Amino acid sequence: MMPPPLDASVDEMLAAAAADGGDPAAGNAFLTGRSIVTYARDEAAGVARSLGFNAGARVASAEDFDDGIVDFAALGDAQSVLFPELGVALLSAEPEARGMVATMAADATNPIATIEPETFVFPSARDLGEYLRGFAAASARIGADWLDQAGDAAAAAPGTVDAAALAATWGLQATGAATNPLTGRGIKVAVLDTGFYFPHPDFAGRPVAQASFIFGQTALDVFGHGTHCMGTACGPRAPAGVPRYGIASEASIFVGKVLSNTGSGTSATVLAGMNWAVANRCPVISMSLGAPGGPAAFYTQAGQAALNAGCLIVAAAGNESRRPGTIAPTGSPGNSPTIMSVAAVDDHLRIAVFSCGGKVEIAGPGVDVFSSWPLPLRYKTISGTSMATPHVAGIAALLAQSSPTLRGIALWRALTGRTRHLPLPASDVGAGLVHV
Amino acid sequence: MAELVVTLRGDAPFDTIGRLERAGLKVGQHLRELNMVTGTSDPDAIARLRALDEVADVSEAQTIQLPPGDSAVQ
Repeated sequence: MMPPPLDASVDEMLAAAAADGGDPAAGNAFLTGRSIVTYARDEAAGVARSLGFNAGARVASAEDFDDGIVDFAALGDAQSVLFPELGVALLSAEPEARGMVATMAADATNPIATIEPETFVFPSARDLGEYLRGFAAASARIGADWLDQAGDAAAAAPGTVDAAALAATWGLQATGAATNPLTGRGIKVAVLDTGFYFPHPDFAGRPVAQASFIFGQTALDVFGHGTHCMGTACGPRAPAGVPRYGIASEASIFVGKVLSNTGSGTSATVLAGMNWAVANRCPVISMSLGAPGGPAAFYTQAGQAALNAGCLIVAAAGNESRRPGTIAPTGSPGNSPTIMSVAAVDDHLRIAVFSCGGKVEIAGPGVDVFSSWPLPLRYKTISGTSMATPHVAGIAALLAQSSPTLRGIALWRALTGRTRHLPLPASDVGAGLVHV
Repeated sequence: MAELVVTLRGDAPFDTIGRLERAGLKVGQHLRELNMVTGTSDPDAIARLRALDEVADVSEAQTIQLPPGDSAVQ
């Protein structure tokens, strides 16, 4: 959707939001489509140049108006207007330009600090928090049901359910990550995917190393897949207003963009990302990607090179099955013997209907997984072996933190040696459900 | 032109990149940590590349495509 111009009336924007199918439960109906940028107050000139160059068209300023009183109807073709006294700018820019501004905001050397969606303001309390509290309550109920059904000796006894665990997603509870004190601190975790949405508020202040292997595109995630995976592997311990969804909350984040803004890539982009992650000696490399086909010699060698360097690669098994009728074979690169392949299970610990089988080492939570997503949505619940894989990566980071000897093949063995047994074929779930 | 991944043997000599180029590979990246080279070539160069002593494997790159962003299964 094109953002409303700066001179649009509130009524016009509300009508446009409604016509666009805004969904109050998802928070969409509260967004105007424009953006708010914050910046260092004494850097207005530099910010004006940046916005003019990257976000396009003319930049206006409240200083252009008598007494600083902005007449929005007189802004003409300006696509942004600065409020120098506040260190704030209003921006009407298309998604690509917003992405470029977001990239600047993620750069600590740029005076632009944040970019967030502009929201409608109502006189009465239309509270998005109600929805989020409802979600948390539902998640807690699902978690309690699961603990009862699974008969977890440590947690299912009446009255012993950890309150903190109930504030986490079902996947973090099922894997033991919700109650484990480890955080992955000091462990580099590389997620090779569509990039990462750096301005996500849940990751504010987290240092991020990044590299893009897609020509002409920054590592900023506009697709969402990479941000979701990173959220599960490395998201915060206590996100505001939503259940905990991230595992290695203090791991060092390495973002390798190997899939484009449309979710596509080739072996060459993936290998380039793997090479970067290994060169940085990331003990955990998560790849929620793949393609049908037999094992590729290059992925097998890449996985071996990684293991030799103390780096473990985990990869999605694939989603091509249609169970119970059709079980598709594990795709590439997960089918290489030197790469750990991850299957998906649901919250009843059943194999996911889509999860590929054959060469599988381990299973992770991969159905109805709640995690981070680029703004304005902020969070999303989706399914796939792509979602199971970062659960394994996050727990691998916790184990790696527990001992400097757990690297490479030793980390592989530690992961597969401490799974929760599942009454399912090894060709479906390998050693069982990943568990910290 | 085929997009290729050339996997090298562990003992590849110093001028391997030059030998790959002379065999017809337009080198994209030398991935030193993985001991591989990516690039493009005419299909008829693949056999020449495979014949080099320092080359363990020559494969065409696979294409990867995620499902659409609004898909429930990723």
